[in-house]
Amino acid sequence: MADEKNPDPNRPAMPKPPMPAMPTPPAAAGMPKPPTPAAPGMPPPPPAPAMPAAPAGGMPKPPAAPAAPAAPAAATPAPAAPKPAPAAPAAPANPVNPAALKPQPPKSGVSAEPVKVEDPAVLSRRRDFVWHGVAGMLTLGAVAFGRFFFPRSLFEPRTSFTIGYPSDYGFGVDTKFQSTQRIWVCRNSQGLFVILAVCTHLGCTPDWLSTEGLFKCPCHGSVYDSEGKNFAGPAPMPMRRCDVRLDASGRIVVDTLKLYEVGKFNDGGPAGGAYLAV
Amino acid sequence: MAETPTKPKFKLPSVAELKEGQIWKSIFRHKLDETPRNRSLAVLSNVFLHLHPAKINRDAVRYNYTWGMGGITFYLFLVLTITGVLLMFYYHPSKGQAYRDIMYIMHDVPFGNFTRNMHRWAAHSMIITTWLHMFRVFLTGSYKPPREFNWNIGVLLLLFTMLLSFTGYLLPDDQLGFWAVTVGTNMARATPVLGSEGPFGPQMGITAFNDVRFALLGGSIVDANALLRAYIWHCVAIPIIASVLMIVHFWRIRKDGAISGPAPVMIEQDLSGPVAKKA
Repeated sequence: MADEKNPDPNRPAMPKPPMPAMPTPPAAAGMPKPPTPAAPGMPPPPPAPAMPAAPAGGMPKPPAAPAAPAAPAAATPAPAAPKPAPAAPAAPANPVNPAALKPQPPKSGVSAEPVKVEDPAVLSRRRDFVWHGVAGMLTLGAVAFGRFFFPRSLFEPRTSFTIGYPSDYGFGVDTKFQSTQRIWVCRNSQGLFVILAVCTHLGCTPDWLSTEGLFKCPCHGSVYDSEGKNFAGPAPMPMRRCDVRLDASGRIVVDTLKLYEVGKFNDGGPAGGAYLAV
Repeated sequence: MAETPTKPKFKLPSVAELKEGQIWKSIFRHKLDETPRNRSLAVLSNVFLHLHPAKINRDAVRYNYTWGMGGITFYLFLVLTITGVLLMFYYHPSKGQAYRDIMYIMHDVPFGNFTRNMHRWAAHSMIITTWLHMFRVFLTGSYKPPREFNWNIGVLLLLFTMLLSFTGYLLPDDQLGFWAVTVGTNMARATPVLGSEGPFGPQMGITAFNDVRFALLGGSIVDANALLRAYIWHCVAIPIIASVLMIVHFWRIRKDGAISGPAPVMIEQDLSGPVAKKA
């Protein structure tokens, strides 16, 4: 058995080679299970010298003397060919005196019962099962890890709020909510509208320059007119406007999540839209 | 007992005697002779020195071959680690407090300004040396097989170096860092599929509240969560990732023929893939 360990016992495609010659029924008795190939590069051993019990092969230890005493009990019908297995080139040719070696029993084979050698196909299935389990756990962990970064609750400023009555605002741009709500309240002849103070280039807050009547972004130099229409710099479009409506008491309600882009600035009315006709 | 009076007076052991003692011998396993064998042992038996090869090519120490840029980059990483840990003793990653802590470090903490500036200059330098290192590797063709794997590790290290720089940008919580991170994370909106304004993002149901920018900031605005996340990525997570990659990087340098060395001789049957054919 130990001799004919195939190079890769895990490969199910490789059937168990038939036991050649030497009908020694309890051959495997007391043998440790086939050791994992110690020398992977070793060519598969020639099938001829099926040493039934001598723990030769790729055993890391020097072959425990070919003599019969090496094999305990069950291996008594040891064949009379006690030369060391030629299939063990890796085994150092230790000039150990066989007599000096104690008849030391194989490590795991204290009992004389045959150690069951698993079918490679079964081992392979078992190993596949374990690996699939590991992969599954890692996948679950990765998903959980990813989900972990998306919090459920946010502690951010309200996105909908009231900013007082329409009569509070005159013509022009009012910046009093710029730092707290990031909006400008504007009024022209058409009505009242609220510009979201976010540059459409990369999201900085432009400055309102009242003397020039312009919004200028300090990050990359975009320039907007007093109604938020871009005309210089990298900004690709006018600044967006927030939804405005009047609540029951006549106050203006602003929603910074409901936004209107250019082309939709005339949408809506008192029930909610891009502007309030006041 | 009775012999106490005859006991010799305690005498400090000489260095030579110490070297014969058990403590010395437990630490240093061999002599320090000026023999090639002993000089190799000194390197091989020391956990820190063994990162270096015991022997190198004569050319490997020539500056005009490598400019020493990889080593300098690693050295700067060490400087950044040490000064960064020092700065962490005074820094709270919370809104309002963060900027005050920076002012405190700069104006009151003993050697605080020095430490912070060291961290800052080392950070700037590390970006530059990383690029120069990459440039040198390109010029000397050191990205070619069998070193192509290590080139890719290096590209990842470049990425993480720049991410370290980016995440550190926000930490002072000043106007410069705040708007830089605003701009940088707004770019993340345009990520394909994962960004709320990127190609196929909206079609996949991605909004500003579940896109990659949201994950980076821990919210929809650059606020306290973003500051904390930047801090954790900057001080813990990315340094660990980069360290692991550096271990691989340095290991592969040794295994792929070392600095300025020729490709190692490999046995064809041990190789798989294109390297075998190249050889």
